[in-house]
Amino acid sequence: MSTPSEPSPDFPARLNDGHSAAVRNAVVRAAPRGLVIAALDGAEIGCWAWDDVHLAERPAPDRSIRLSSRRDPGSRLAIADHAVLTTLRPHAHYLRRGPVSARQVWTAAGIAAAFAATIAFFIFGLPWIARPVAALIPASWEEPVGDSTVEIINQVFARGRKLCDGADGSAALQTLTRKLAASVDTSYDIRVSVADSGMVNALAAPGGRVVIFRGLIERARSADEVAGVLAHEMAHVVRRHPTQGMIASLGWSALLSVFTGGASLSNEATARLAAHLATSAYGRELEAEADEGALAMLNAAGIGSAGLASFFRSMERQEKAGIQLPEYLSTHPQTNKRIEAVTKGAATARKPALSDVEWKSLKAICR
Amino acid sequence: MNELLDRKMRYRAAVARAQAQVINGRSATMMVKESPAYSGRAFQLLPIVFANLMLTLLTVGLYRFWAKTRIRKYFLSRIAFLGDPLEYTGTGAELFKGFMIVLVIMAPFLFVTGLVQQFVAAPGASAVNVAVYQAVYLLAIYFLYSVAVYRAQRYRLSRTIWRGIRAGQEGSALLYALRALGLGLLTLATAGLAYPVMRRYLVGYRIDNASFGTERFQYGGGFGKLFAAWLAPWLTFAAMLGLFGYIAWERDLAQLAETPPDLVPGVLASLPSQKLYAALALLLLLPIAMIWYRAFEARQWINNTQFGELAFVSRLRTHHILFPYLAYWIVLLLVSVAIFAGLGFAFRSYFDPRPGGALREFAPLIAIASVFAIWMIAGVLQPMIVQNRLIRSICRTLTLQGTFSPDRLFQSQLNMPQRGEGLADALDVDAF
Repeated sequence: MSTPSEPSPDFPARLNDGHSAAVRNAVVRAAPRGLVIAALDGAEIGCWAWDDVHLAERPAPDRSIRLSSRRDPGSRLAIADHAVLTTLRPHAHYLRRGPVSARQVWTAAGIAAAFAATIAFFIFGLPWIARPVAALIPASWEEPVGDSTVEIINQVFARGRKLCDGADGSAALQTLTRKLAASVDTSYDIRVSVADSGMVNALAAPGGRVVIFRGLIERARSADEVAGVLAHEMAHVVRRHPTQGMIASLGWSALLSVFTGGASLSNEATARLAAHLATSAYGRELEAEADEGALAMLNAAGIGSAGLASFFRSMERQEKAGIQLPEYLSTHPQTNKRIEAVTKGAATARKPALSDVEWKSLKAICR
Repeated sequence: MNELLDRKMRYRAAVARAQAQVINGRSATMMVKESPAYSGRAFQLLPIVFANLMLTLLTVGLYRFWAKTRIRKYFLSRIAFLGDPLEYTGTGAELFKGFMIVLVIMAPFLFVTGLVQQFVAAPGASAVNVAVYQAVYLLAIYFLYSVAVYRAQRYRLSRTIWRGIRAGQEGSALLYALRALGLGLLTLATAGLAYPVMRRYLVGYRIDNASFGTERFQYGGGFGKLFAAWLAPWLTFAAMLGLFGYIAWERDLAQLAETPPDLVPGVLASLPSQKLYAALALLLLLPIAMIWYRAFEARQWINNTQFGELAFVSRLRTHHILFPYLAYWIVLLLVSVAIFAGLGFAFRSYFDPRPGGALREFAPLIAIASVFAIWMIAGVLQPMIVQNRLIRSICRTLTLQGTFSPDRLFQSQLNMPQRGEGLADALDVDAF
């Protein structure tokens, strides 16, 4: 069918028709109606419409150009002469770097949406799931986890030194804990330990475990301040925030290890690191909840919230004075609002949290 | 949908026409005795692997589907047979879709098992709890792993073409995984002796269900020879265990744990050195025996597989597998030593041992960073050294011989899976 008026040169090619593994030697040339494929004797074998012609693989200098027709996914033309691309480009728009197809746009949009949905689930979905799941777990199941968490905290922050257990100090701490716990209904057996570390910090672990750092007791100016912080951590425990945090962090690990592909060592490490970063501080909401719970406990125990507020304030002053940010505050943002909230609902203190003697022995619990 | 049906109809008609031609006696049968030619080069891989790594890091791992696709396209396109290259037609988007579906299945599975492990089988929980949890977890993972292996092979074969003809795989991933479970338990019960039996039936199932175009592969081997070969690594391992056990019993190594650290070398020196050297020699021999068995296995699979009138012969030996890994580990070791030494020197002030010494808490961070750097370099070197060389050796040592009628080998009529390998990706089934 080729007419002499067609200016396009012939290119030798190997043809696979996509139906059998037979190969035919052929020549191809560009014609207005499409890419014409002819046998070596000149007889036309077929013609691929320009809309169907595309590259089967990215051209490489050491290899033939491989073309395919969209009508037959198995069809292949292997052309050794790279000049064929220059000849065909004006005709076949799939060989040009033309506008992106709608399909490609949809695929890219789908991938972006799936990616965004996954990230959103990481951030919002997990805490949302963690609460009902935490409610399903019996408090007694958490005890071994709580114990090992306290152990790890002690290893990391107090270099494995013995937990502080001065007899009089422990008795004072227990008195304070009982006083605060009297007004709450919880299935936890709340146990408070003091870690022998200079950091000003306190935290709640699963299984009803609370850890106060020696530095916090030393920095506190009265037993009421310690009582305030303790009540705050106990409120976390009672509302099962540590359990929720742990569940969210498990979810993080699970998602991340699937997300980053496989469970290889490096991924495991990344997942753990990220999980830790994501969940080491509770969200603003949970902090507000804990403040509210602490306020109720302090009021019921007749201690009042002045101690908690004054502790917050002294932390804030330190921060403003440019002293290194106290650890306790760095995980508890928005101090001003919280002081306000804690002060607003306060009942007047009827009695101090601990007697002078008890407070002295608590201060000396690590000696 | 209509277009798809249309295309299918046209396909079937064209295949029928081609078949009719053959019946009319226009077939060209050829005698074949040829090896696949591999033309891959490490330096060509370097820019691909490097770009893949950078993009994968920048996208928190998300690019890995496109990265895998690029690597597969490279390796397959460099393997040619009878003058025509293989081609990989999979896309990153297909792998990504497979991943999204598995994310929905796998993440909750890992979440629930994590939850159970934390609360029911935590350290300190009853031994029964821990044992039951471990058993169930391992069985579930093993089952999923087997499903993943089978489905991944189906996807990859369906995306592998030569002369426009697709490969494919039939059979059921679930049946395969059930087989794997039963045979795996048998292997466990026989202390590993039944391992070659398991391998023969699993690999045999995979080969028998694989096809290229309209022709299926057939595996005709037994497991007698495999079993004999398996005794080499198995006995090496058993002898090593026995020898170490004997030494421990003789010298009561349990005491060693309570010996002050500065006395340990002395106690070790007093050990029966000949037996200890023999045990250590066996320990070194074990990986070599294992690789020797792997090469034997590979020859066994290949030499007993038939494709129509074509037979396969492989001359793959131990060193073909061992040397690429050895080269890789030596290069990686040298690079790691250089990195650790360099970083250690650059940050030497950070390792101040005095109490309160400068910023010592950054020391672990630096260690993590260098481990990460080594992990990245390993990711670049692995395809360039190990995979590149392995594929070259496999091609060089492989010969296809017999008669082959290209025009009687027709396009595969198997359905192509629309998505790929999500489960295999989640379970890290293999590296590329």
